[in-house]
Amino acid sequence: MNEMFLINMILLFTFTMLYLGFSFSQELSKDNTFYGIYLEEKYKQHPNAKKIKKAFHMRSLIVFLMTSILTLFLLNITKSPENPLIILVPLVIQIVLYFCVYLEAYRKVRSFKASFTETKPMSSKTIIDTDFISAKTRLKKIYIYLYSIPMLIALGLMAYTFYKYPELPNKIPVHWNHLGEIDAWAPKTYMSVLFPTIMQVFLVLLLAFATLSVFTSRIKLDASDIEASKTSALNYLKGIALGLYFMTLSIISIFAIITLAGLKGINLSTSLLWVTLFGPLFGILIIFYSFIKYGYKKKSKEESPAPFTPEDEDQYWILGFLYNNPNDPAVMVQKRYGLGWTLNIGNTIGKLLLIILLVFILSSLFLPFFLR
Amino acid sequence: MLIELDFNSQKPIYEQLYEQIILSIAKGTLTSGDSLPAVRTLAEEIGINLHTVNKTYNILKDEGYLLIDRRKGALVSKLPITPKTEYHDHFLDELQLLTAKSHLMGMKEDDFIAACKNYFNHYKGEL
Repeated sequence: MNEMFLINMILLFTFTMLYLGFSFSQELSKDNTFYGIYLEEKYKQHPNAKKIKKAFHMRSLIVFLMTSILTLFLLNITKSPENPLIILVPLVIQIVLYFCVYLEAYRKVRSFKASFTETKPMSSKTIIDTDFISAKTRLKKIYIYLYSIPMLIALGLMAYTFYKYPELPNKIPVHWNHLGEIDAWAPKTYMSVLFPTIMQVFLVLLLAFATLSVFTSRIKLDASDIEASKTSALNYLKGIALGLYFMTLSIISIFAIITLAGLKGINLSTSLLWVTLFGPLFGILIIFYSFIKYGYKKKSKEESPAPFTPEDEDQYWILGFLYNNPNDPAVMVQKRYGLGWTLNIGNTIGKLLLIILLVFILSSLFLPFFLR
Repeated sequence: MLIELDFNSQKPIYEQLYEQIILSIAKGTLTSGDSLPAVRTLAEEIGINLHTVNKTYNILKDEGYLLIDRRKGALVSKLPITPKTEYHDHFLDELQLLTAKSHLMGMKEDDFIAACKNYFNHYKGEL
């Protein structure tokens, strides 16, 4: 019964977070974008735009309520929480429905934009500050050194696991419950023992890449006050990179604790886990704080035409969320819809990363089924 | 250095970039030995093809404004640069065309010289 309650709470929490994240994505999106379409801020006040937004919020609320109630109902009727599909399937259905709600808003904004003819062409001018570029390059170099620490830990864990392999018993722990007690075992194979440590190395690589990409991402400087906008942009980037770094360090320490506990075949100390669980949360808070601060500073400024960057063009965006511009060497650009960055799939490295990312997500979703 | 580019201009981006860098060197914002951003970095920052930036850097190198160092990347050459004879001829051709245009548009010789002087005053930095 206790476990049933825990699963209900986890499910409700996940669904609520997903709902909040999804329905407030537009509020977190960068300036001059509206549901994946380039639209200047003043047009967002148009009654039609407001109508689209209202319908979007209504629909996502309906999706959230309907799927949550249905899932909780099914879960408590079947009473089979050990089946991971019970959570996975509703989650996938919910994501698909949210996606449909987004697409509807995207389609409507597109025809809304096409309806007005007298739009003035957007600015085609851009301004680049080379001092800003070199400041970003310097920070990038510092973070390359900083990331060698979690990388060495991940590689060290892999080497240590490999070294300890012959001494391991034939049955190794692979899962711990919420109390830190071992609740699942797997037969000892190179795959089951070494695979998690290889994933950790990949994870560090991925997070390092994301952090370094932050410093190569384009930021629009305010032409009317270059110096001030440069400082606030650099602080913003520093905050995001620091948050990501903090997240990496705490994730790698969680993994280190789990790996070492697995090698020794012992239970996890829960207090230790609590500390490491707050690490990533703290990292996210740093990222969020720098984002809000930067957004607030930008908003409080006088309106001046933002410099042009190629990702302002609608033609390079597939459905408003996939950036495909072969002429743009940037691997990551700021998202149109929601907070953060997205890959440029017109770029060879971008394509490759997308594939790696998909493999990573799918394998972490489905591998537990195969390892059983 | 600030680089201003217009994506809607008739002038190709590589040419705009070329002009901006030369103007920056002349105005003293870039001085001898200063390094320019790496080709990839600059291309990523602007969002244009690597070849475009490469083209600009190569022309500037050929004309003597930049030195391409294997390790340090693109550096501003020692000033004043020693022009090659073919560029000297090319330069006179350009000046001839510009004066011809000014003449045809009814610009007075004195006004033309005064405008030239005004520009030269901006480039008073020690070479």
